Amino acid sequence: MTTDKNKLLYDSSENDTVSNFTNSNLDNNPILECKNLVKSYANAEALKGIDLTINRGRIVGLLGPNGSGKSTIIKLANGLLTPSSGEILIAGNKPGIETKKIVSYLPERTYLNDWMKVSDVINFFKDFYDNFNAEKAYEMLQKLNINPNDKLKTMSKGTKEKVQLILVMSREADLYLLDEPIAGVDPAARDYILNTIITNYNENATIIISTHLISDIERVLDDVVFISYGKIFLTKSVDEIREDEGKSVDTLFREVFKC
Amino acid sequence: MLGKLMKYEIKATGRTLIPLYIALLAFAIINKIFIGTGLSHKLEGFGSIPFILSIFAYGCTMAAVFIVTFFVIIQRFYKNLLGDEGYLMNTLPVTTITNITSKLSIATFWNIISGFIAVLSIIIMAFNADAFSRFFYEFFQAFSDGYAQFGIQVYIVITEVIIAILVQLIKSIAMIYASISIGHLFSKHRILSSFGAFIVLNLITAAISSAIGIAFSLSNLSTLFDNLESSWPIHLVLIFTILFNLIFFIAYFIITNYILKNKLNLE
Amino acid sequence: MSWTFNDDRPIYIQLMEQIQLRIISGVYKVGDKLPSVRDMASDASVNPNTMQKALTELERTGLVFSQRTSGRFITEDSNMIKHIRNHLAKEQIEKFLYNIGKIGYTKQEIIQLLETISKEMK
Repeated sequence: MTTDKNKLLYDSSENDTVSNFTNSNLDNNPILECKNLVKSYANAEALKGIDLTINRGRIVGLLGPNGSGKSTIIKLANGLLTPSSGEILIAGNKPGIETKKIVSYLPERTYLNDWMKVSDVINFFKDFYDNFNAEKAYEMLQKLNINPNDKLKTMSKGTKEKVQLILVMSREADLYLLDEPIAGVDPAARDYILNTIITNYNENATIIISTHLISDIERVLDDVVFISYGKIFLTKSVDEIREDEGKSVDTLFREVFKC
Repeated sequence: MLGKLMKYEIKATGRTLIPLYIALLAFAIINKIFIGTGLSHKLEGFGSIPFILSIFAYGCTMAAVFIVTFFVIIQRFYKNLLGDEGYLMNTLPVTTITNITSKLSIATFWNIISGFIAVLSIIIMAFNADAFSRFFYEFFQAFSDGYAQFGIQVYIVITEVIIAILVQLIKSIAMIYASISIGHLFSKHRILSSFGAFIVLNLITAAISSAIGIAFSLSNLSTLFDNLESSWPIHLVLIFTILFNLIFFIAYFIITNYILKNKLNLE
Repeated sequence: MSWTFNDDRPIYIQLMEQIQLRIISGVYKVGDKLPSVRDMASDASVNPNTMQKALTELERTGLVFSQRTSGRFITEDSNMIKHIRNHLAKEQIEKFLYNIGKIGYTKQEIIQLLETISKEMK
């Protein structure tokens, strides 16, 4: 049951002091950096100058109301959008082929074409991503009783979303970007998704979850970033918020973003 | 990576086209049976209905092959790169150039195949051993006559013609891609804008072609054609057409690539 | 035993309390090997970093110790466990006495009441 990964966790604990809790520094550079990042469209400014640094080995919540800029930051990080000005760096690199290799992205919508079977899609991911772990994917599918020979066309929306999540989490990436992974999903599926996130955690990778459903995922987060109207409002660890404010992140969020 | 993308392109598009090809050839064979066995003449009245239906089905399928080829090219680009699947395709570790090239190459491939299958189906139907061998005899006779008169030039000209057709083909496809990409720049009425862009691009191409044509006829270059013994003018025209279309092809490709790389905005 | 958290206190502190409770009540026995951090985090549905923090803090108290290659273990020191058990019990009782004092019972009445009710509970 004990694996090498767990050994590393134990190693890191030997060096920790009370106040300075950090993860083992396999790789020291931040996984995501935004420097005065601006994204504007013809009729609106989606991001008005974002400064953000996110380190490895963290599970981070990107929290804000709809239209606050959460999705924009994620799309800029995976190269689907280009900055209007400023910089966004993934492991020190601008978004491009090298960063796409180490970023695993789960969008809000299904991006798989219908005519393929599940096994076809797995082969697709295997073809294009060196760090895709097909055995892990098959294992997870089996636990959910999804038959790899089924065509995606025949599946319900919920099942397709689970398949997508499995594909994304089966990549051994450095940065996972999950855009609203639990919105519109039934509670049992929600638990499964959160459990998948927890069990796939590794100290060299970071998971950024963008959502407006906070109370469900609070316990899974290390840090939270509040974003509103294209500006970062607050960056704190969940523990800090609970210790300093004596409230849950959800409560704080509701206070801060009261209409 | 390009090879892998092309593999998936063929899989995705072949599913639609290959059944059509099979259907077309099947109808051609059926029609051939009707014609060949003389049934078409012997049956009268109601008896000839199956034959008429068969010809009709063949005609429809032929039309379908070309229409569907055209639509597959458009829809594949639009849906796979600019629709929901774009969330996957544009986050793969490949360049936009690779993505565009994979689609363009397979689109060209199917265009050529569709043409071949169409011709093949006609040959099947019209196959008559005598007429065929006579046709081939005269065909090769023309070649050796041409060779006797002009020498190796004949084969060079033929090669140039084939290249010209190919370049014209990829230019057209690239123009379609550029139109769709330009339409993507608009946040509303994207399909309408794509059509508009297509029309505009066509007009621009036509305008430039005409301008060059007029300039050419007004200049002294046309006197070169008075001397028909030399085959140089033909080469010149063909090579010029090839270069001309090549430049447009590159321009459309650059437009498409720029938009996909820098101005992508998926819903 | 299932994990319950409220959301206005840091989770790692609540994890420490509940792991401590499991140790004291014998769910985790003396000298037992704990599951991996990942498994425990998954079981409690919390962030592995948080579980790690809780376990590290528990190591500091001595209730738990880790061996480089083999993992984390519950202490063998049953005296320590007994101590903590007594301390917790004392805390609960003091809280109880304080609250019941507000209702106005005397010490004798409280002891009699405790006996009656615990007989009923059996």
